Amino acid sequence: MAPSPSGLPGLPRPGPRSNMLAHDDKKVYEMIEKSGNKGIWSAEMKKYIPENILNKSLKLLLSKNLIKLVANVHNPRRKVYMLANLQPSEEISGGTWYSGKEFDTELIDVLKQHTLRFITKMKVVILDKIADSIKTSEILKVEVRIQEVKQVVDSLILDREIEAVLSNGSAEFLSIPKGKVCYRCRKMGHLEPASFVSVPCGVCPVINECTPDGVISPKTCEYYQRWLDF
Amino acid sequence: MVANQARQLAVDLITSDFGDLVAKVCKCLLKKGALPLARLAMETELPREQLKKCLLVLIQHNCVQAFQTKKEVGGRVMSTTEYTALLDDIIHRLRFPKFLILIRDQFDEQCECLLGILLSHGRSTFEQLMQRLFENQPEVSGDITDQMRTRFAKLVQARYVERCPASEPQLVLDSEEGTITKKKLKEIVTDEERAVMAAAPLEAERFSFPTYSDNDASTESEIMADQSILVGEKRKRGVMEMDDDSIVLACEKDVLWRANFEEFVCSLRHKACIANVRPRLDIGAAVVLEAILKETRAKEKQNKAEYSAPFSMNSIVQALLGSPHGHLEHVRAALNQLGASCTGATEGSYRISLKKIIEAAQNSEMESIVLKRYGSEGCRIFRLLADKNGMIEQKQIPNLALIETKKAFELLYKLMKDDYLQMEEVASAQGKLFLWRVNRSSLQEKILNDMYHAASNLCQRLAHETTEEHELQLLKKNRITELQEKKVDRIRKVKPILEASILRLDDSIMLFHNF
Ligand code: SF4
Repeated sequence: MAPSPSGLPGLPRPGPRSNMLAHDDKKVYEMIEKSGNKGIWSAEMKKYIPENILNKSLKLLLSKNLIKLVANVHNPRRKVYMLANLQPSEEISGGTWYSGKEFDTELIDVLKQHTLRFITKMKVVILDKIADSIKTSEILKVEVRIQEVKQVVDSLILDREIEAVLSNGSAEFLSIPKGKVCYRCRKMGHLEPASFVSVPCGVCPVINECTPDGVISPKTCEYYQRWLDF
Repeated sequence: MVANQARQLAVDLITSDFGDLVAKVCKCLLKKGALPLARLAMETELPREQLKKCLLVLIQHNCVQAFQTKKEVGGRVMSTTEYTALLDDIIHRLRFPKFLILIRDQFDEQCECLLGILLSHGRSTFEQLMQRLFENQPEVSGDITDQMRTRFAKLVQARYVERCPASEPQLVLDSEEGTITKKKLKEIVTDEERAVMAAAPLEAERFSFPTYSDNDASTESEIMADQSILVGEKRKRGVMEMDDDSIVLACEKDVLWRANFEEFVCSLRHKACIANVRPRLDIGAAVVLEAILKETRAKEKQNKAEYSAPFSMNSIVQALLGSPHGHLEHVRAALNQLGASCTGATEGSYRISLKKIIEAAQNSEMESIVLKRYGSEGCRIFRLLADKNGMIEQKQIPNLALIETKKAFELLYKLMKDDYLQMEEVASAQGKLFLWRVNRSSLQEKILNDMYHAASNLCQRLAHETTEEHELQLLKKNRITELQEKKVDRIRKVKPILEASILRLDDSIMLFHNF
């Protein structure tokens, strides 16, 4: 968490600070303050304060380190402001998966690979155990939350690498209480390439323009030429 | 929309098999629906004689069905003959190689040969079949003909070969014998379907091929025919009162036969189910499913049936006697994996949802298409929405699919542009919401349409290469240049690739259309 520049404790204390500000600056400060850890978009403030005044106020508040500009991962081009001593909400910052403005693909890949290896080793396993293994692996520098582990697991399900099954309490599920959701590797992880996409037309960007005797036609098609180049 | 590209493919197939003129007639019928001869002549601008010849070719090869309609004009009943093209049957021409392999595997090469003649010559009597089969042999012993007769009877009995439909049935709106009833008609929409329905022979007649019986033991098909008479087809009595040998003779001379595509499709559907189950579940489940489908085949009445016919666990164990997957425990586990359900009708009777197996196969085919076209992240988004089987709000999608927001949104819009996803804008208290979903049925239609298009393109390219090859072959040997020689060489390599691609692509077309 970013410490407040004035050395004051984390909680905002609008009273004394905004009191020292001029009327317009105070109005801007209060608007930003009211937006809490979600922040407020400059365009939103323009509805209430003329642009030139707003810009001046923002500049001033920034220079006094009372507010800060935060990266909004969903709308990177939007200028979103919040009080300097607040931590942006996940909605804005993107949470664990973002370092600054950047989405941490590498981190996710490492976590996914780790999880997949762990599930392969364990055959069947419940979510808590996966979370424990991630904790001990120390891949994440911050506290691992169960919802993030679930996200990683869900994305492995979407990759059809693993599947969720209910324990029946016996055989391979012996150590897992009956009815509990657990995860295991899928028998058929990878898809056969479909016949349709192994011919040029299956991935062709101009298929809708292609006709038997048209300008684009299978007789003269460049994609075919390349495909059948011997 | 699907019909457009399917029609083009049908025209390509007819062009390559019967030439441009026949294709022109076929194209006109496919586009305009059923037409009488006069209109057809006007539309195609072909001389009557030529047009008739083209129609005969199409009828001979089961691509067109003629039918009569009666209309009252000024108090007089006028009867007109119309012609309708059978789109699905024409497209079956694409799969003839598959049908032949199926017969070779299930029976033998001679049976394959018999079917081959039926497929390449169209409707034929048994006598014509024999003539064509022994065309180049000066003498043929009775023994060999007998063997062939037995084989042919087997094909009929297995329903791979059937009697041809009536050549010009009447479409009348009453329940007279031999015509379709009003109730049935209500469910039928197109002329094509009405004509096919009216022309179809009665079920018992369809697969009856009486053979000479040496020791008075009737063949199964004869028994079937006999039974049907008991059930009440009185009008056939007259025929049956002839002595056995003359019936057989008449049958061989007069009855026209053709391949029964329905049965081939059904067999290929079973094969596709088994092939899909093997990697998804395991070999045990595949073996058990194969046994079930074989056991219940005769009882399966409907095309594209949602469920297998009912079976008992015991019958499957019996069928798998001696197989490593045939123990009661194995069979029970496999039934579990296959999601067998009790039919409820009789105790201990189960059935399998074939529709579910086909749907799983369709899903993985669609996913594999998306994976290739949009990469693993695009595929993850697609699966997220497909698994959900409902709507998801745009902002949630990056988090659920664990993809960077900007990239996720880009992929969403790309998938929407290509019709793989649908989006709905909804106003809410928090502003506009963008709800995303996979519309399975419209997506399937889109993919099928593209597949027909791709198949048609492959056929056209193949035809193009073949023409080029012919042109080069016409050149005198000594005057061929090095470049031309290279061309011939290339064409020789290219053609098998195109042919194999067409057959493979057709597997997918069948998966989405016929299964
Ligand atoms: S033939 Fe060529 S241009 Fe036409 S759809 Fe296929 S790949 Fe595209």
